[in-house]
Amino acid sequence: MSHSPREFRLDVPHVDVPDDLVHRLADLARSSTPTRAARPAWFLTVVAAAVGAALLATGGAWASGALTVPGLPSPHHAPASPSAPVGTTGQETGPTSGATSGGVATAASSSAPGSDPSRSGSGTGSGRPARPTHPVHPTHPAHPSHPSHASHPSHPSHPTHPARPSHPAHPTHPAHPTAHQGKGAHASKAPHG
Amino acid sequence: MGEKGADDHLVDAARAGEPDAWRELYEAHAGRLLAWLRLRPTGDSATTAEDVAAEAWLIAAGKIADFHGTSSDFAGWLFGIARNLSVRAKEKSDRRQTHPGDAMHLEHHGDAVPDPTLVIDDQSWLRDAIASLPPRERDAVGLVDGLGMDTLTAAEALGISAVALRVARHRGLRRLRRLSDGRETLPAPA
Repeated sequence: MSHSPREFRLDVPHVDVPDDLVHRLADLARSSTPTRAARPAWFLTVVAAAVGAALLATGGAWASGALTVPGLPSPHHAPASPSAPVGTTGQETGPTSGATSGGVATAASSSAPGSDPSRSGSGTGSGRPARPTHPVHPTHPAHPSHPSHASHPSHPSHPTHPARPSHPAHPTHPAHPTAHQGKGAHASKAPHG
Repeated sequence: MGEKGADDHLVDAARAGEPDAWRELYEAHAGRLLAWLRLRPTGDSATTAEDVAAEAWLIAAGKIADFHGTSSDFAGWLFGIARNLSVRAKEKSDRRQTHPGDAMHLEHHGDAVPDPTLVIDDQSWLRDAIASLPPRERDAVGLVDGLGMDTLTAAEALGISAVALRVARHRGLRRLRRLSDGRETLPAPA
């Protein structure tokens, strides 16, 4: 335990300095250019993150049908193409969807070939391209929110979402006031009786 | 890298490509770098410490524009480059899984060239003992105690904090003392 760190000192070999190596190092140093200052790592990271986010957003918009890429088929068109021509289905969907609701009709008119006739409520896929028409119907601001849920046609939850437009069974709400009015009517009738 | 100090003129001259500056840097650090690299096994008999040291110098000259600091900081930076090269050479050797043949089979092909690194001198035991330590302890003891490098420069060369370096050095020295006292024996060479 009496060993001091000095006893572990290594002999450093004497190294001759070769002239050719020194001149080569000097040449390399002259041609050396700073790399970090030109392109800092954080800058590259930010650029990569921005490009990735843009790609993700574009891909998500395309997958949900909000964006149509000319070279790529729409994800809602793909299942219909092998069974029947797109044009025929598009012609059929227009009238049927138009018969269901007015909001869907505007969506189908804009992108009729994409909508599948079986899911009239899920005309959300066709409803997305019709967004420019939404300002025409300012009284239906709630409808565009429902199509966003119905963007996945394969999910079984879509049949439930179309039920929401049927919620306009708001006539039920007026029923409560009518009940009160009925009482009032009875009360008013009672004196008559 | 480090704070600008009195030795900056040497680094600035080296960055400008003056051969005299590189000669001075080489004289100051080449010997220590070579002694330290000899403690680190590359695993490949074809890759010697001299090869790694020469490549480290060339890389340092090519990247000197990115370096800012004193001559002492330059030592830590240079040793860090050499450490990365040594680790890469070891990994490459491990991937190849090639084993050098027995040198005795080459006897009949001519006289062996004398290699000064194979001469057993007084420090052969110390080199073997330091080389037998775990990698971090070996590097810490080799740089600080073996070559006399200061703690901060050694920590920068190894890419660890000064506290981690002190811990590794303390453990390495304790193990070295056990070896020197005979309480532990050197592991047999592979």
